[in-house]
Amino acid sequence: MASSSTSVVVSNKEKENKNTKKVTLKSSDGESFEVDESVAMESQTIKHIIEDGCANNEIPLPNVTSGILSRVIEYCKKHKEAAGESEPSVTSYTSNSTTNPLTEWDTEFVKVDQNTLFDLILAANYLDIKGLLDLTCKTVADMMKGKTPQEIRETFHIKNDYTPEEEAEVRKENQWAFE
Amino acid sequence: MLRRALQKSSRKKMCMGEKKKDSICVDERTIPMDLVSQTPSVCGKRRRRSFNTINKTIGQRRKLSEEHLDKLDQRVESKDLITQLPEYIIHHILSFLDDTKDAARTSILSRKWRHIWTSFSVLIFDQHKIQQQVGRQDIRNMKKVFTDFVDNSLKNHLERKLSIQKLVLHITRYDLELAPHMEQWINIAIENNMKELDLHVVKKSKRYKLPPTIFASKTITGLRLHGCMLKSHCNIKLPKLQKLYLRKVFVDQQIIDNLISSCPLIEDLRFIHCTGLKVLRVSGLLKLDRVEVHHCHGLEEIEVKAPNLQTFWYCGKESMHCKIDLVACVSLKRLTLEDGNMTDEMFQDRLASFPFLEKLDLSKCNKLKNITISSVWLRRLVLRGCKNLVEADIDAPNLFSFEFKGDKMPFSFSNPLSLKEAKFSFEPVHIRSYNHHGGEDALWFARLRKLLEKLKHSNGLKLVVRSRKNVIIHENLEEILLPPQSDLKLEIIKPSMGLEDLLDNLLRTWHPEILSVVSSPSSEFPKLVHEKMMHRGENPNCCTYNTRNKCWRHFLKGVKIENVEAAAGKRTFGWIPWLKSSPTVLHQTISYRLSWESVERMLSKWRMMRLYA
Repeated sequence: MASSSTSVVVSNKEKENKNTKKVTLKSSDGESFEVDESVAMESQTIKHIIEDGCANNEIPLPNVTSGILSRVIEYCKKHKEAAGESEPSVTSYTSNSTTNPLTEWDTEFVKVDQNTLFDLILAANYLDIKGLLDLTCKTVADMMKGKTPQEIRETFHIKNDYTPEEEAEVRKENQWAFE
Repeated sequence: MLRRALQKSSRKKMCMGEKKKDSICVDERTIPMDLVSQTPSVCGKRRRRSFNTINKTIGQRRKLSEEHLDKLDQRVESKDLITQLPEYIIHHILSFLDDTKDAARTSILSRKWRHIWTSFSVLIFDQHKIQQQVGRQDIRNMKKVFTDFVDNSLKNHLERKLSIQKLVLHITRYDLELAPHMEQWINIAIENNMKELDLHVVKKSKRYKLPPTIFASKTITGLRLHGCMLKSHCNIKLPKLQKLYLRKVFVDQQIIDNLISSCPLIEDLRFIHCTGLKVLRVSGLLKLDRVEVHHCHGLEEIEVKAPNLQTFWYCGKESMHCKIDLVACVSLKRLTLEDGNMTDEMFQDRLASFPFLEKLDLSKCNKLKNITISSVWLRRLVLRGCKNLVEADIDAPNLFSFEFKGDKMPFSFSNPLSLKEAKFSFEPVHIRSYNHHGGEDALWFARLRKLLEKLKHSNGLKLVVRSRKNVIIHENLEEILLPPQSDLKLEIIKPSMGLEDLLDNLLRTWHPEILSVVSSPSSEFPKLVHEKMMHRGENPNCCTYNTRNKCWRHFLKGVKIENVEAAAGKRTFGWIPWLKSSPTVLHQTISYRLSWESVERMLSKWRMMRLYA
């Protein structure tokens, strides 16, 4: 049996439980996504809907487009897999959560344009997925770190609507930060 | 800024080719994030280019009619996505900025941001960082600079009648003079409904004693203390406390007992390197989810009666004799024990009290000799450094992940494995020579081979064998010949882990000298590895925000394909002649010799680039 195993990730042929429960999520633009219930439950919002017994046919998500929803599902799948199976054996002295073994994957995941990034933030907020919200917010924070205000404005296309007098006032107010 | 603009305009004439791109830039407002996140040198170019477009727009504005101006402005405004986010999300983003100054500076971005900043309430004060910014002449006043800074920030914050969500105080140079200031700050925060307090005092000869007002705070949910002293105080009332993390704190028995009995909502309790505690008795906490005790000198007894406890960690040295009673915690899912005094019998008793255990981690349990682990629920097992372990009989049909670190191979699995992931780190006690095949070694190899046999039927598992400088990736687990070296680290990688992730992780962590891939002749694997190694690009533009922890692409100097046949007679690389001689060479074997820049050199190079960017 000369197996020519390819190295590309194929969908997990060896599902441990063959009969996992599935739920269907419907995006705002009408596309349906079928996912394992356990993966969907990464979202607290969906978890509550399911637990309250209101998830009969499909769960409509009017605030999430299909493009974003597919990415969110990808995130949840990957993280569900990682959490359920192997846990990193790092001592968790004073950290709130164990260190994330998926750092590289996460870094690649957020390499998207600003539109998508902010849509992901809003989706993570609406669906209440802490990990994704933290990841995306941290990415935005990293985009702000160490930049001057003008640079931040350019990065995010923020319009400066201060009058020169107002601007001076604000600077004086928070003088300690501008020194 | 003006000078830069002038410089740029003179260069403009030289960049004729770029002119077209610039004009596109003016219209296309959606700059993908990839373009923004580039290496410092390229980032500089982009910044200059965008200055260029701004100059252009300014020039154009004088000529354009009002209508067109409005349109341009509209286009700018419509793409400001960040300001449109709900305020609490922007606060969440700001909370990831370590430096409060960065967060405060956002107040100048636009009118709306002024409001966002003033309602933001996570205050971080790091004494070292704040004092670092003081010039040489002010060294005597350093402390005053710090206290003034904190006083002013707090005053600023409170003048707007805002609450304080979280106060972080990191005191690096503590002395008695600071104590009244600290007390005042903490009191102010408590009065303003502080939810979380993170107090870190670098321990010197004097310890900081926490003000008693802290124990009457009705709003505090998280208390994280480092290097302080908690003295007995009778009136403890913390109705909302959920997390209590004490590290290197000097406590006394009574105060801990009081805390436990007057805080019904505690979920997470951690004691690390704490002294002064003799007995830890926890009961009546229905919400308790996690308890961790690490190296608490003097602790003699731990008794936890928490029916909903999910995670328990205990780490103690052999000299610390501590009796641990967790009998009532039947829902325990994750157990980590580093207990050099636990005998076989004690262990078996403990294991029996947790029928639903999913994760078991035994480190340096040097009294364990012969144990049996039998559980249907167990998913992950870690055996690390249990020096005297002779035989561990493992019967866990649903075991998914296994990790072992030690010498020899004292474990055996008594039923077919559904193991998807394993890590073996064999560290011999004495150094064994390359050609030594003594009885012990042969036995060990035999057992290892038997283990791999058991796994070979699982499709898609990959085996990574690592020695100090060399990495071999086996794609099938069949017919693996292990090199006669005993300081091997083996890792069995689960099928769902993709090639990209696997290679990236390996290269990033180990910077190996030789990377070899062994696979059957019809496999696609080697081609993909080849792609990755040879076509990685000269100046990778990933990892811009990661100033210290960049991925392997930034360190790799050169890649050379090593011919297995030709590499004879090289004494340092014992792998190659061995690979040549093994039957696995009938499979495809490709070896790459990699040369790496030293980490220190690259870090200092990047530091220089940042200074001059």
